[in-house]
Amino acid sequence: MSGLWPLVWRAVGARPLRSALTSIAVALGIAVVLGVQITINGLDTQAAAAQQLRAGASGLDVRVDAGAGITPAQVLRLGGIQGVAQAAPLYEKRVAAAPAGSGLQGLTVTLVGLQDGTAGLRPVHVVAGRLPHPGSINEVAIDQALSQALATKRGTAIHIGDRIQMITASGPDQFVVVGTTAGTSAGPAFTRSAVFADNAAMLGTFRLGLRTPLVALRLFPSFNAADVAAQVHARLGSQVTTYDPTGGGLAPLADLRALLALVTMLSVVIGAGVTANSVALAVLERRRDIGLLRAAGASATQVFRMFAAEAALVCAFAVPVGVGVGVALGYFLGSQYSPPDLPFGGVSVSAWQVIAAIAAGVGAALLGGMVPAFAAARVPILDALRLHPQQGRQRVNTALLSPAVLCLVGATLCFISSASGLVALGVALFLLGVVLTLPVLMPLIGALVARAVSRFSPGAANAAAGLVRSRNRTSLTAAGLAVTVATAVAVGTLTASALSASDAWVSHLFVGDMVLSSPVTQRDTVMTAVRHDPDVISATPLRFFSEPVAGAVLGITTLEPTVYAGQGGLDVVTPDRSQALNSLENSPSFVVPQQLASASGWQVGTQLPVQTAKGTVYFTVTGIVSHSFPGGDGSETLVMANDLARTYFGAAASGFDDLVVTTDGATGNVQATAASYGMQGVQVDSISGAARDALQHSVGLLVALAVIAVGIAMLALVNTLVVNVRQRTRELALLRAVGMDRRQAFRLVVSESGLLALTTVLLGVGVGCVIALPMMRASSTATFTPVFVFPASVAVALVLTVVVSTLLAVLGPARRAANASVLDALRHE
Amino acid sequence: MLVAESLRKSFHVSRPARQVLRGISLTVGHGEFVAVMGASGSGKSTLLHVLGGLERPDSGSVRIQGVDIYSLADGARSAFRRDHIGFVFQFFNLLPALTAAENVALPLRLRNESWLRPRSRRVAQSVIMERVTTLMDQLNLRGLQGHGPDEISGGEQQRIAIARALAAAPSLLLADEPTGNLDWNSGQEVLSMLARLCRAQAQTAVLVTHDAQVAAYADRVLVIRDGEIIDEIEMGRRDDPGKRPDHARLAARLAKLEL
Repeated sequence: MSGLWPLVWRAVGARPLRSALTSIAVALGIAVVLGVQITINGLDTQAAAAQQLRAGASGLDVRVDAGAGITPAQVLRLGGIQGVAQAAPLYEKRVAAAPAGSGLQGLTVTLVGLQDGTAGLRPVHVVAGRLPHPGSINEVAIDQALSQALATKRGTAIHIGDRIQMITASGPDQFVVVGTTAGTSAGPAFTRSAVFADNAAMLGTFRLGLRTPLVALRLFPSFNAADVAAQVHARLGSQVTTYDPTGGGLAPLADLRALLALVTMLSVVIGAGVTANSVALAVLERRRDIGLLRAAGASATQVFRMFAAEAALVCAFAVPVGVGVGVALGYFLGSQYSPPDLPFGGVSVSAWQVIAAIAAGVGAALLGGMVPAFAAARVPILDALRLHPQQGRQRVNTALLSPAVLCLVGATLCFISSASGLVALGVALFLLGVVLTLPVLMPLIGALVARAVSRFSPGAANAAAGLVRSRNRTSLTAAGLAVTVATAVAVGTLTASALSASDAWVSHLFVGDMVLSSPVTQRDTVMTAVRHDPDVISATPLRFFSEPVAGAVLGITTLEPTVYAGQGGLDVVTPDRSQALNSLENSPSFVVPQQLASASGWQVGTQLPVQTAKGTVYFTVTGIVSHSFPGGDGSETLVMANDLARTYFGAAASGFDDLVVTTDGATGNVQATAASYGMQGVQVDSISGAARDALQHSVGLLVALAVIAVGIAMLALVNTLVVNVRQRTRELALLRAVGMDRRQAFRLVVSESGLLALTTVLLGVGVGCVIALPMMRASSTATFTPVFVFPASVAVALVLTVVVSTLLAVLGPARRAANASVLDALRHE
Repeated sequence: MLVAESLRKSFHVSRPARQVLRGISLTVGHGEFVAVMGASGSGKSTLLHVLGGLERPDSGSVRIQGVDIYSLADGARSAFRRDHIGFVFQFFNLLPALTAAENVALPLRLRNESWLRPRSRRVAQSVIMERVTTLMDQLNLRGLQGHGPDEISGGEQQRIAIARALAAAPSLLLADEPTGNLDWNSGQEVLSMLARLCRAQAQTAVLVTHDAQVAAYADRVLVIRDGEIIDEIEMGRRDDPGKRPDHARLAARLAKLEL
């Protein structure tokens, strides 16, 4: 290679812009692979650490939701299982609490037992003060959200050292508040705000009606949760459920990982395409060099190695940049997408991750570069030596049309299915089919676009003719950009559709403009007080609780059916809204969410056995809604009338948790009223906005990567356009020699470049919308049924960015080509 | 040295196919300087390409130093071309990315880096540079070593191309209209240097041209028309290296041929 190294080195140096753009493309490919790896790994590690923190010392949870839960005898048997170091029961009880001496009836709160400062082996996060001492029977710690809700009078919170009274086995007893804790810090056993007392008090004064919904098992290090779980089921049967609290948590961005992989792969492939394009341009520019080298005795292998070495050299420059940008990207994305309540652990990069990213980015780029290098080695010597190779009108390569048609037919067949794997294959086939038909499509679309813009750009028709003349190179140039724009638009469409579905969900759940949310179940008197606020027009309560329904413990939401029927609440799928909601008032019945109905095989009229205070009662399904209120575990709840809920479930269904309020617009006063009862007022628009933000936050990563892929493809476009302009210098000189002025020559070049960019991006937008449809169907679930929404802002941003960037990139070369001396241009190439 | 037998070549760019070489046979002895002369389209450039292993004939054979070059595989033919044949083209064809000296050294460096060449037979860098310097001195190119092709005149570029063609001491030098892109004075200067060098080094050379003034520098002139050699003219310079080109004699002979 020593003989050709100067050629390699100087060829790279002679085209610094192209070399730099290609290096950047490869570097971005490496960076995306590395950045996504770092982000996913960082978020996984963070999620695992958070999960471990929530699990505390528990290696396995054993749960019984119904009745009194796990019996003391069962706790003893659990403690005797091989591998179990400790069986820690979690005691829980619902009790009425009120400030000491207030004379108030009190609020119903969840009381949770502590053993050695932990609840079910989980640490409890203390915000201020301390937890009750072990063995203490008259100390409690309360959740900070409760301090306001339990206030003696409006506006005065419970402080450390104050006393509260709770109903015990011996009547109302007083307890000293020794600390405040953070909301839901203790894991899955209790998700709403709680009062913490030591187990000595739980098993003493609170022993009546005590439940043991969970026993946390601390395992010896050599035993795993699955083996112990098998023994638990062998001893206690199937009425208990086991759960590994350290695993099984949702992986961050789990739903998006397939798309993330797709977009990441796309970035690498487009990076390879940029390298292929760059080497192909080098081969095109240096055909005569190739001929001369071959005539001077260079073998085909030597020519191949020379161009391959150029690609390798450019890739080598990209490696350090790619790794650096990848680490920065990983840190940025990781910190952006980590949960707001957990600190991002920083960047952790393994050597293998870096090697994998380099191998993917550089490997793909080298493979891309090999193809034109191989073609260079096969250039006929005498053709290469011609001073001015014939550059006639390019013809459509008909050999490509058959596979293109096959790809498109295959894609159509895949799109008939809604299986995500087949749809993904269909999308890939469709994109490949479109790329293969670009030599036919690009001139047609270019002509249409030229006709549309001819009023503003008189040279557009000539520019369109240029696209036809060089249709193959035009297609090669456009392919990467069209595919990446299509992907970005498809992602944008999915996002817009999901946002629309989210908006519809929220707007149907809350029939008012504000939701007053309480950390604890509030008394009806508080609702009456809120309703008397002069700025409140109407208020309707929501209450959330869980009961055994049809053999499983399900979340239930109670509401006022007439209010929801009258104000258009809940998106009833079947039958009509008024019939479904009004029926709730007449007899024990539920409206059920579509997902649950589908999963359980329930239909309108299905009878569901429910354990109530009056024994087993059969509730009728009177309607199915697309979505209902989310329960504590995130799954959607059953909906029933609040007055019937009190009839059948008694105290468990009394009071309210949220109040949906319609105000006269003066929301500040209403919020102040809510705050005085420890409630927080949130506007429905804010809830909708928060849901949108959460969705956009997640999907934003995909959009960001898609934009990077578009950026990489833009580099190829700019590379090619600059070479096109340079190569047209002689043709422009000929045109100028026969009368074209500099301005016209400049306009011609800029129009062609602009038209190519506009045609490509519009094609990409169209293709993106087409592939979005099957992708939406594949991503549709019982709870998520997106409806197509055109991502106008994404499309406009892409069109403007691509066209403006392209025009800016070719302005300089176009000006130079138009201003070149006619004689010089005709003398040289 | 060079034996071509019954060379035929057709190009199928139109119907009927155009026959460019119609059974040409020729022999060029060691150290002989032969010109192939003919009008545009007579087939002289195609003949040169066939002789140089760049264009496979439809039939016939080309033997250089006893080797039938078209019996060799493409890689081996490239290697043979590199080791035994030097080309000079009308349009100089210098590599713009290399300096004058690097262009001249290119064949030696290509030879050095061949995988097939044993390390022991590779030429040292110092030897390459010495050879380059010698050739450039002989072609009156001293001081231009570091210049790029775009910094020197057409005549100088063509002399660099000749130096490059001779750098690897080829058995056969093939020149295609070497003065076709030069003014008269530069052309004469290049030709006289080429002829002098060939004679001094007993370099076998075949030159194609349509110009009788150029052909007159050769020892022997082959006249080609419609793909056939129609005449062979001895210029009598082989036995008398100092003899000036006899343009008048050649012109008179060509006039008889109505060329």
